[in-house]
Amino acid sequence: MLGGAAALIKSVYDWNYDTIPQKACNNRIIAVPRGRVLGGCSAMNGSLLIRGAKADYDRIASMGNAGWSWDEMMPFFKASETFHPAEWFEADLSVRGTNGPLHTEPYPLAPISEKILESFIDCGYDYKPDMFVQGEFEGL
Amino acid sequence: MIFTRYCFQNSLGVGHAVRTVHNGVRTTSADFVYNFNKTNLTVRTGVYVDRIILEKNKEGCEYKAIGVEAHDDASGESIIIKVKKEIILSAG
Repeated sequence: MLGGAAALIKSVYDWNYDTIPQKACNNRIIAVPRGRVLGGCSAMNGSLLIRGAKADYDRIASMGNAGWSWDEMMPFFKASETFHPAEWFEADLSVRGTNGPLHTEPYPLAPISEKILESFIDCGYDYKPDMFVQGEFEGL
Repeated sequence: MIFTRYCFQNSLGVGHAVRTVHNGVRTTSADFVYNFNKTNLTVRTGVYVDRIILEKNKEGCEYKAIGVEAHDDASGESIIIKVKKEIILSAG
């Protein structure tokens, strides 16, 4: 149950890792939840599907790892998901899969989040609805 | 869910991140092994790997991974798994 995800932190489904005291954080010890269950963190996290950056995959390939470029990985990204479209969401179907084990779906925003989205666009951000699977956040 | 991404001080956009949830049910990486059609896959849960067994290698590299030492969490039984080909270490 996704709504109960926070209850999985520090439970038997969490490895309960903590950092060493962080000098830059007033020596605070920070909890690092990791999934201790088949499925790992994907079974206890916020369930967002975000692919890595195209530039990173291409760099990995250029370091001598044949087959790891963004374009070569794309068939596997697609094979991993069954995307369920929603009318309001402008998906980039050229990078979406239709027959994989992960069932993915956009979720409508709460009214306040719609306003936040509008405010980002007003601030000059480009609106790229499906940017998190398109690989184009180069330079992160 | 809305996110923004930054490239130094240049904004690159705002968009939506889809969820791995459909009809109220979460799907996870475990779904890659449930209902897996091939018969050459064995999944053992409740078994924790303690170390990778390394052997001095004659073929140039200094060490070669030849297996893993694990234990059954419930019984404490020690388990040695040897490999012919390769070990894929997935540690989060």
